[in-house]
Amino acid sequence: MSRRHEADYGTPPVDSDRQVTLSIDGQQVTVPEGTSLMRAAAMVERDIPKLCATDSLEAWGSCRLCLVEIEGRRGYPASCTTPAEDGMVVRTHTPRLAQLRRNTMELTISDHPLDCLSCAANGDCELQDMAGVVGLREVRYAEHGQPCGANHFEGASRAPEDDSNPYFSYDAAKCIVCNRCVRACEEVQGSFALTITGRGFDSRVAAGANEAFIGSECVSCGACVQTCPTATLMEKSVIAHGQAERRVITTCAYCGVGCSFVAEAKGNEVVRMTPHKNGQANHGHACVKGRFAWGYATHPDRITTPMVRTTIDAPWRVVSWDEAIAHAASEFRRIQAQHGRSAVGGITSSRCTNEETYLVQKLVRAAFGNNNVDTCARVCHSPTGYGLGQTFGTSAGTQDFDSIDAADVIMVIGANPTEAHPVFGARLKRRIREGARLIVIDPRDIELVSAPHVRADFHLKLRPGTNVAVANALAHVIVAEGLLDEAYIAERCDDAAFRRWRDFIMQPENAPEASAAATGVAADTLRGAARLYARQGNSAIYYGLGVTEHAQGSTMVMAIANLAMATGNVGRRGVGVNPLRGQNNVQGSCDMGSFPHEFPGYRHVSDSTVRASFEDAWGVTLEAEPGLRIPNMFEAALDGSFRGLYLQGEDLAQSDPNTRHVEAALRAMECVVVQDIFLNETAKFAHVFLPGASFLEKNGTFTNAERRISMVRKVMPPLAGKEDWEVTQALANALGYPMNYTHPREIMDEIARLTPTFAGVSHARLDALGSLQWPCNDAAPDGTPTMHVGGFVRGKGRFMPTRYIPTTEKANRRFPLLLTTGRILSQYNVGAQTRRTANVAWHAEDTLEIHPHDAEERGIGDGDWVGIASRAGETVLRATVTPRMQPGVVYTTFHHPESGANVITTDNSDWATNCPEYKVTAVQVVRVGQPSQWQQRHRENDHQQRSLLPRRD
Amino acid sequence: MDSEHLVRMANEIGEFFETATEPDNIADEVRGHLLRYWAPSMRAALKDHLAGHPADSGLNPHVAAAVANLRDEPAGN
Ligand code: SF4
Ligand code: SF4
Ligand code: SF4
Ligand code: FES
Repeated sequence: MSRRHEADYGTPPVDSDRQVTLSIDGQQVTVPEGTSLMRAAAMVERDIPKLCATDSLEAWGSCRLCLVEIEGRRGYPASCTTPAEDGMVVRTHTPRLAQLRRNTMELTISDHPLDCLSCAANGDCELQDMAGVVGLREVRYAEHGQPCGANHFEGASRAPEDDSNPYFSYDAAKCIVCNRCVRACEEVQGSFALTITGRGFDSRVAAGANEAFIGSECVSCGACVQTCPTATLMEKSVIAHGQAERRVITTCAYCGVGCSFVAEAKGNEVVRMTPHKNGQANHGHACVKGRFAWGYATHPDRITTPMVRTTIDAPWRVVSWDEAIAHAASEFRRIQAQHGRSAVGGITSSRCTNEETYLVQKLVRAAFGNNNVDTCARVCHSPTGYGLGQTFGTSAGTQDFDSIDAADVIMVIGANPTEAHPVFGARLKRRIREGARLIVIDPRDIELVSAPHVRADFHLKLRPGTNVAVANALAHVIVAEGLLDEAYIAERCDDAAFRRWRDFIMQPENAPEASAAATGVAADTLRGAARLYARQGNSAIYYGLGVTEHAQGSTMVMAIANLAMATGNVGRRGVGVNPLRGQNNVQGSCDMGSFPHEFPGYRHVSDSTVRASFEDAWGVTLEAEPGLRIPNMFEAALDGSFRGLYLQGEDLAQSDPNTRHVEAALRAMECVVVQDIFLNETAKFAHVFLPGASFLEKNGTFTNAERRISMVRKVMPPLAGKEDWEVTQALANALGYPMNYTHPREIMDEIARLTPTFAGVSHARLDALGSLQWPCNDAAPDGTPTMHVGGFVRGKGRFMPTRYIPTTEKANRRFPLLLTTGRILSQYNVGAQTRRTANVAWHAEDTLEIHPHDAEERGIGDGDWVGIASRAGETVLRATVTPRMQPGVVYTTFHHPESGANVITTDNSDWATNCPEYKVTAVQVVRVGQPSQWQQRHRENDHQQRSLLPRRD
Repeated sequence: MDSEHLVRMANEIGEFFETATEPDNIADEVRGHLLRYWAPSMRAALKDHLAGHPADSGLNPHVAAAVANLRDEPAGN
């Protein structure tokens, strides 16, 4: 495929202080030194024919189509590889050049099938375009329209096709060996999965060591497919459906990178998603999820009609929207009348838009009249909110993604960006290849520890649960060895807090030698990492759920903030503290006031000025006390004081820890209203089902991990007839609280009016600018790429003493191993979407990773069924025996409900926020022959619940 | 509410502030945290628990002091 609707300057932009001026076809043009002639020419609209060049890749200079003449020079240099020089006089079009180009083209075409009319790339093929541009009229190397001699596209010499990837095919017959795919895989994605094998006529593209794509190191990012100028690498969806008729710019609904996409559609059917070249988060790159895994939106499992039932064992009854909404509203009001105003609540989702999330919290606060609203960010990044709020003054990453291009040292803590934030991971790898140094703090050998042309300088392979001890030891070395940035601290940070922290951190227990036994990290490795992080230059920290999902999650976030402040690494490009958010709109759902103690913009419900502004706008009296958090709701459900729950897009029964406890709480409720696109695990405990809309079916905004607000635009009408905000609005109205929005843009306008950090945000401005990073207001009308420039949001940065307190979840004789959890590239969170796509080709089930030593001790072989028991429960998975683990630690993902990974996680939680301690559970692992009891029951229950669905023909 | 769980959560808050602030401030910080982040029903349950078990509440001293000082005042800032 190619992307003809976007401008292509042929070679990437160059940054230089020096400018050069030259003449191209008589036009004067001034460009930064180092710019190619091809790019310079394109800037004055003298597009030079090209095939092997494209501006997302470094020039290669192989196709010889881009020749030019330069006065005073002999020969015909390739413009893509020749840098512009001061005073050059260049001609891009002369009779001689035209002849040469035609000859080159003729040679290329002579080994290319001439089936253009029936080719999937017809009309979207750069080879076709160039044949037209150079005026190719005959192919002399062919006879009677048939080529003579050996070729790659017919008869016995036809090159093979590779259909092994579920999303794209490789038809080597059409390859012109331009090397763009190989460069894309190296430069953009950093996977190095492709090579050109053979020489001369025999050369072809090969995945891995001449393997099928699916079996190679290819991660199916699609960068090669996107850059291929011919139909050689081609999306199967386009082969099947043809090319799109219209394009809509929208935002990926998977991870927190928030890639911008062009959804290409025919009628109401999506035929391709291509990453948007001007997308400020992704600059034209994507991963296997966003680019390819969107078929779930039209999966037959989608539920498209509202349903109600009296009890959770009764069959579902299909009803009208009005009936479902009226029923839900009357149940909520009945419960409140019988059990008090606080007996009901709502949960928003990080998968929903800002506008939807805002509306749900508004419904809870204004219509339910309490603050029992929470979001799934509770279980992932709530400690980020608390920790960064305490130290810096606001809950958000400090940088934009582009900032990594200026980082000299990158520290990745408890995050696995190449799997969980793939486009950012590719960016990070590129920066490392350019020479930045890397420190990884993770219990496992994640890919970044050692990937092609990427190697971590230090890997602190710590024991799960000892993050804070490691961070304290790093800080101890920095203080003890005089590596503090004293001037920065004196200017930017609170002095008394700093002194107290310094005294604390210098205590001998924080020395790396003292904590090595607990953390498993050798003192000299730790000292080396501390020196590297603290050295002059720009050091940036990126962290993930391996930091937050711990009993000391909030403490660790503060410890990270301490490190950054101590070394002067906050407040400019290239540095900072960056939480990598799991789901697409974690940042947004937090910003929108989804937490029970905060209004939109992180303002406490007890703040009477803020509360008054909302009371004015909403026309109600608002509760000044914090409401229940998700785990608190469960507890309250079990003691009978909480009986009704409205869940938008959230699957608590699968994603929350200690599944049996969650299921018991859900069973105890009288009215559970689930709004989702599928009958998810929680819906099995629901009384009302309100069908939701996928991101392709609605308008709104998402906010990614860099605080970037981007538009989500409707590509097809909602399958169930309503966008999610309309459903919330209908429910509010039925509850007697009027809402009258006609479009999500009006909801955003209300958010902007009531939230100072969003004052300058509107759909119209987003349409005009593409995206905006909050804070966006009078002080920063075009948004804020870097935070805390010149001073912290809270004024002075506050150091916090962060004592390491070992978790109570310790390995012991009964449960001698520590289980930790994570994600993989092809699947997303609870997998509801990705499991319903061809992505299962890469990850059909969750497995338990175990070190060979632990496996051998238990007689466990690769692929064996193993039982994993904790004090909370027991489940069964297949084992993957791998030295990526350290002895004593096992690991699994949680993408499939039947795996029951959360049956074993406990209800331990972060002290400040109740974020569950997913990352540490003491377990025992044994070989077994059959699924666990929970799994057998789950299977039966799953079967039974499906039988309660209305029959569909 | 399961008071054992509430006690554990409150003690964990106390453990953090034992290092993070001066000894004289610990109880205040814990009380502030409970007011800002705990729903009134949870605070009331913990207060009842302490009232019912003055000698063996399971709460650490600073935390017990904080809980004893919880009145029905609104969450501070
Ligand atoms: S899909 Fe991505 S990883 Fe796979 S070969 Fe192409 S560029 Fe490389
Ligand atoms: S597969 Fe496409 S991009 Fe790769 S060398 Fe062949 S024609 Fe070029
Ligand atoms: S899943 Fe993340 S990295 Fe992949 S395309 Fe979507 S936003 Fe980008
Ligand atoms: S585009 Fe310059 S050599 Fe191919």
